[in-house]
Amino acid sequence: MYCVKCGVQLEDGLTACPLCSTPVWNPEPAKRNIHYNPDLYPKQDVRGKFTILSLVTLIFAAISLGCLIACLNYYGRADWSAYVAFSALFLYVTAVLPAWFPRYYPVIFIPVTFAALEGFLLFLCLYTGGHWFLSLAFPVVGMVFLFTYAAFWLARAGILPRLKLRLLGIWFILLGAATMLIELFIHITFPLPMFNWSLYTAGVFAVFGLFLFIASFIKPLRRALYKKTFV
Amino acid sequence: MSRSWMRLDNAALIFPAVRNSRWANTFRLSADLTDPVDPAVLQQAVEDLMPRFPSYYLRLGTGFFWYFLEEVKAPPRVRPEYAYPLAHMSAREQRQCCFRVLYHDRRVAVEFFHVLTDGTGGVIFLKNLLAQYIRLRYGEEVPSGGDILCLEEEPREIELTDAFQRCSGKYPLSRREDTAYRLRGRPDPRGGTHVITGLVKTADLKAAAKACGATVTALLSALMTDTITEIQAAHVPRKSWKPVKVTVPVNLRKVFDTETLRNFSLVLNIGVDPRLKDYSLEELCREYREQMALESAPEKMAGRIAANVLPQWAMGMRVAPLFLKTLVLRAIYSRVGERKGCINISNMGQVNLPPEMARHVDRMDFMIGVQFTYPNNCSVVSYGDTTCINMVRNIQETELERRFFTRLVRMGIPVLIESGDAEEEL
Repeated sequence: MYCVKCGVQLEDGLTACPLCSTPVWNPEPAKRNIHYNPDLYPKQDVRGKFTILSLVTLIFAAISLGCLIACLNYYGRADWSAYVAFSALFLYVTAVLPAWFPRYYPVIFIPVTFAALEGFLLFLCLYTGGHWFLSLAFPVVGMVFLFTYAAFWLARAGILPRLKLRLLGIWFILLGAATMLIELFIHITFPLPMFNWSLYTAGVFAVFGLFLFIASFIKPLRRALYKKTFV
Repeated sequence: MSRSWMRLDNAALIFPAVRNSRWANTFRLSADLTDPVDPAVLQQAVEDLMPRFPSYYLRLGTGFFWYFLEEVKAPPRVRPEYAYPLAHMSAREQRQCCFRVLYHDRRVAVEFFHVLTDGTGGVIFLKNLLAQYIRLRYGEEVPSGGDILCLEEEPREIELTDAFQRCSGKYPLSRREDTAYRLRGRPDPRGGTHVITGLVKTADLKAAAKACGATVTALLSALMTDTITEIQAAHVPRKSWKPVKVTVPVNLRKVFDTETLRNFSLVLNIGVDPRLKDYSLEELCREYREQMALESAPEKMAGRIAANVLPQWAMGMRVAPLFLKTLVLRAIYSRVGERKGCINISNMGQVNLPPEMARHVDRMDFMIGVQFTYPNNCSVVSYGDTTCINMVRNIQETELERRFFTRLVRMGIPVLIESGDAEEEL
């Protein structure tokens, strides 16, 4: 500890400089227990991000509620304003909600995003009197979610490259099959011919997936593939 | 049998991205021997080095997401000098091998595409090539030790690693800097790279540096800054002046104590703003000595490395197809790569050879090709009692060289100038 005025070194525990009587502002020696007094230090301003997010939340709420109130006043029922409110809610859950957290957590937010999408589509279906949610939107969005989540886990999984390649091959083959399912759901929901286009996509995906699957067993091919496509 | 391959090191990522059909970032190291070169022996030496230096005998391959370096099928053939130094290394040549070995009369030269290694790595390779050549040609027992590696040993892991990844800090240092004055000139209709070499006594240079209280690199950088300031004053009205800065590569092996043979250097842009005051040479020397000491502190270097390494592993960057990456890297290079300095001054320092080799080697040269936009470049290497200052250019004007070497002479340092086959003493 040094005197700020005359620059001499001071013995631990002194509260003022013996030479010039300048008070020592931090007389506690470093070797003893230092009691942190929070009042001595200016508060860090940590509000920045949360202030903005609160403002954004308020704007979303204001737009939704404003439209709803205006619509109720004018028409006596939530007419077009329901679309605005649910769209705002969907947008908020997918884009703004993750920002409240320190970083983007895909494990949580991928399912949350898809759940919000399902909810939004359910609202649209019910509100428009459609009959496409259960037979088309729900299973298709559910499948897209499963494939996205599987791809995410596959990218993160710390497994042997050959096993990863094998799983990727299976993923592509299943993706091809899923396109056929999607066309099936479209066929069930709307009067459209079955397996019109999905046979082609399924074929392409199946060939590609099969290639990856087989390549996973052939070491030189697997290495050549990795060399050309490592990220 | 599949050939081994490796990722590009962090510094090398930029070089394939910014090359074009007329320019690639190359450098050249050469040695003048006492006798004419025997090409067959040189070829044998090149072949003998292949197992010990796997990170050099590589070709540039193109993947879907990144470039990669792949082992060559056979070592490159040595060639007689066929063009001006640092002739353009085309993409086709890079796909065959990323370095070439040339000979002419008593001279052995190796020209590297920068994707393989930096100047220090290049010097180590050339020393080993010369050592093997001298062993085969003269039957000398050149002992291994220091930079001369034992060819019977397996390459060590540390020699092949990308040291940037290991030495990167966690927090990137900003790249924000003032844009520097740019040297310009009329393109030379003959094309190619032209070299003016100044040979000075190393002792004279060291004495002058000591008198100014600076290192040789700081002195040369200060002299170059002074020269460029004069040129700017002669060609640009004062109100439009810009900072004058020189780009000095720093060998990070010394900073981080590693022995990698791949790229491991970073450039510092050191300079002054001549609008603020007219700096004297002594002031410039002092300024540069301090700037270099401050900026090359390990923690700052780690921050600079982090600014390059962290984006490499960003998910968006990794999964972007190669052509998109190339666009991004080109944009970064044009924004920050060559706008923050006026010229490169790469000082290799003193190159020492064991006595068994030194008696067969007369001289060593080091040349960096012109950058994409810098029309001039300066490379320095000391061997024996001589320092060789190579100034390359691709423009007609030799104003920079004239002013620079004249300044050295005015300081009392005799300079022997070489240019092509004409020699004159200033």
